[in-house]
Amino acid sequence: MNKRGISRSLFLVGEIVGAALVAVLLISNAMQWTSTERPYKEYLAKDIALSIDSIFASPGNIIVNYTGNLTDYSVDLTGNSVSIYDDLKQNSEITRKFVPSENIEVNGITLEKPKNIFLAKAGDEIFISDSARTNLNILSCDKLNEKKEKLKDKKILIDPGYGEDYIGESKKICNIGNSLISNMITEGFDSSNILSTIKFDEGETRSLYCDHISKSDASIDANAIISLRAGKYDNKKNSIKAFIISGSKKEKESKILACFIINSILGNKRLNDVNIDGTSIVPVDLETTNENFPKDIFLKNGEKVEDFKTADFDKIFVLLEIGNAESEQGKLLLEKIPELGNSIAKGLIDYGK
Amino acid sequence: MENKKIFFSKRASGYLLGKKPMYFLAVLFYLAFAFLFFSFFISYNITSTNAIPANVETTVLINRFLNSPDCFAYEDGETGRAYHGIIDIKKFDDDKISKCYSTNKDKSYSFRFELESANIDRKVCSTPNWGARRFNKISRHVLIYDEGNLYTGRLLISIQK
Repeated sequence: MNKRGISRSLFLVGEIVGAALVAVLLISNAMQWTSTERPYKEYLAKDIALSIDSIFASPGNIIVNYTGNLTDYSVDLTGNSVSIYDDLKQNSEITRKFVPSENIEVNGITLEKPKNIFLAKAGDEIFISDSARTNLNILSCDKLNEKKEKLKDKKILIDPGYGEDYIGESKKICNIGNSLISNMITEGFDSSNILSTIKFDEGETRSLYCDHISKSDASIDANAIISLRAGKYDNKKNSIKAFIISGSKKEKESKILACFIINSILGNKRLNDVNIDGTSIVPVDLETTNENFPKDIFLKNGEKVEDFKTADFDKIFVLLEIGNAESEQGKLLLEKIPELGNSIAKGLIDYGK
Repeated sequence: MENKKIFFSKRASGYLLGKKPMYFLAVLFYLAFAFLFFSFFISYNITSTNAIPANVETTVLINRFLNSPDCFAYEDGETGRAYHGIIDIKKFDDDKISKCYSTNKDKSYSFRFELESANIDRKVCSTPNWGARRFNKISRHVLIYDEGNLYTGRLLISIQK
């Protein structure tokens, strides 16, 4: 037997085993890296954070259907970061930051294994959701430099409006007015400070007499005026519009109140089944309005429209045109009397906050 | 007997401390280095596949300053419409920029803006995390809104990471 041959064979076997072991380790390391989910989670976190940065850049409202597959992960959104993790949160969480803004609030939320992700900016808020039920018609309300006065202590004139052209809708609008008054009293408004352009029912406390609408002779001198109307357009679009007096002393306050009322209506979940095509706040010049505009609220006894001095008008005024009575969705909206009354009252409360 | 000769014979002991063990030590060291290098190389390659190009990120952030009415973009007070690419001179200051880009001195990109126009004085503002570091500079042609008037101008944007 050759001793050198035995030892050489032994070393050769050792070399082959060693090489095989190293090869297996390298390949298994490579396979481990390619099969890990970490790179994909990292990509998702970076991509969502960058998408949110993009949404900050949008000048208006926007909703984005994010197409990344997150069905195996959970998403955690905070004020300045996005985290992606699977079931083992502590060991697998990957977080990426985005740059927030003081003017826009990011609503934190955790979504677990969502099938869909929607990133949205509406008004002054950014949020993610697993459904596309974000209302893009939400308006961004201005802010007053000085402290807003609470309307609870002020005289509020409710003008449900009436006229021959609006007979069908007049009772609905009157009932909306009643619902508004009822909600206002529930929220703490002094009932004696609630006035109306149409007569109150003598039997009920501060309830409009909608069965027989007639003009009131009582004083209509108030600090804030809310006029309610039903829109009437041939275009079948169902919009909510708020008209304010352009150039008046309280134009800014009127615009802010209109904004809060509209956003309150849009934010009422019980109105989600009604399709609202758009919202707007429209400053108007009193001289250019038609006969359906409640000019008598502004004009003193015998005063003509051309003599009216807009710059001296110091009341908050909002004429809320609710939907379009000529469209199916508009008719549906006008049936939602308690919801509309509640929303408008909430807008009045939110204004004072 | 043969094993005894391998491990205890003078020749055998000289053989064990010969070239082969040294060779194995060197190979072991080399393989360990190769293994670590290989692991690092694979992980680096995989993570680089989801790297965001720097110019994409900066473009998205710059769009915030130019398009959002919360930053520099001019917004019509009556209609509420924002005009991207038109800079409202009243919004071009450090206070506005710190509110629309709240970095709190963290490791985000930092920006410095220089507004130049033949009709207005040169204005400069920067994000709160701007510091004494290297930066890149790009230029954009913009319109400037100042009290009802529109002027052409140039916006120089310096970017730091």
